[in-house]
Amino acid sequence: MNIFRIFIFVFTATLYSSAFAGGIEEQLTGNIWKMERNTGLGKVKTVYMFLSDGSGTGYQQISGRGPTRVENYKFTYKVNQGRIIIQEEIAKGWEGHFGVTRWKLIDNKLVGDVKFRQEVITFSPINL
Amino acid sequence: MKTSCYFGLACVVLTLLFGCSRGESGEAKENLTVAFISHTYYVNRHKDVQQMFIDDINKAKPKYIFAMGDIVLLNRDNEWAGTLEFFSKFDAQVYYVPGNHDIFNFDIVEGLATDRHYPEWRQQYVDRIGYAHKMIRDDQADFVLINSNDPASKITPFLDESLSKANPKTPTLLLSHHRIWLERYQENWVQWYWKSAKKEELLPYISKFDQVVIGDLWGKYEMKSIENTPTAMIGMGNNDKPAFWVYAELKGSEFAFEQRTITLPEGHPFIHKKK
Repeated sequence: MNIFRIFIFVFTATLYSSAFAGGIEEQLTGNIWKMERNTGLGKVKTVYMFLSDGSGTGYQQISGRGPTRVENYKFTYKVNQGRIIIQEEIAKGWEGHFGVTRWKLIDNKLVGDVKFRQEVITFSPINL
Repeated sequence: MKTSCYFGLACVVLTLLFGCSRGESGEAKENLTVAFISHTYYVNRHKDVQQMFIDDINKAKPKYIFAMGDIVLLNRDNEWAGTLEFFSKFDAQVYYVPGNHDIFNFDIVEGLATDRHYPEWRQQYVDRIGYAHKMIRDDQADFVLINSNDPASKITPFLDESLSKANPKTPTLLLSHHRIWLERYQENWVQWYWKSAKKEELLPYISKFDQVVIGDLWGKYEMKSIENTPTAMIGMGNNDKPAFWVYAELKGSEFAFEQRTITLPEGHPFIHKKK
């Protein structure tokens, strides 16, 4: 009887977590995400695009102080226990230490795991 | 016969005793003296204060000067030119321990919300200084300088190699910018100013050294015991904090540290008193 209860619990939990993870991936890949911030560098616009194979592309445009600069980079991401972990493109040997950010999907927004001073870094889906 | 034996033995003992305390030229060897200075970006805008440091430290005649990190604020080329000119005016050889400000550009990290540029910036630092980690071997002491911005995977092989080369008969000092015994470490670009290694990764190394010196203390000098290892913590600040450096003299098997404060004239702009 107890074994049966444990089995039902494990089965339900697995089903629930895989459905939850799938939901996050669907939401991530189904949108293009944008963040805009005014910083010491000028106005920084960042766009993330997530692909279903676990890779993604970042695009950054910095304007307002001198000529407009643009930077493109690749990243990989994984979803783990409801958190989205991004590893931005970085030289071999440094992965996992730098260019790592952690996010959560809250109310259809990508919300940074750590506050920057009083600011919560947030990406919103672009309405196309 | 017996008397000549005693005389011979006495000669050997005296030779051994004097041999240890005299140099090759036969002159008495002076105790090794060094200078530590940290957070010098606070004085980069004050040429007169820089000159006071140069005069004071040169007068003390240390054999080496250790700049314990944060010699620039924003890690820009013009800042580097100014600060390296400052350090070039010391008579003694200067060795550098990288601080977080020396490798990261916080304007870019915080602006772009990423620290993915770290490898390029680290290489820039190496191009400027010549190394990120370094061991200085003196006949009276060994100094192991680490880049505590690096993860443990880059630091521990260097520590192992340095400890294997260190002379067991003389003190070996570990020099780091960050307080490597603390829990806090970078998990995210927001924490760019913290060390990258976890506490448990570097803590076992502390007791393998005779003394530790760190350069990321704000506005003061303090001595502490970490893992039963005497640890000197040094770092200038601003806002009414003193401009100072630390003189250290090897006495027996340990360095004795002494804070040397630069006396600034009343109302000097370096001292921004809090209202």
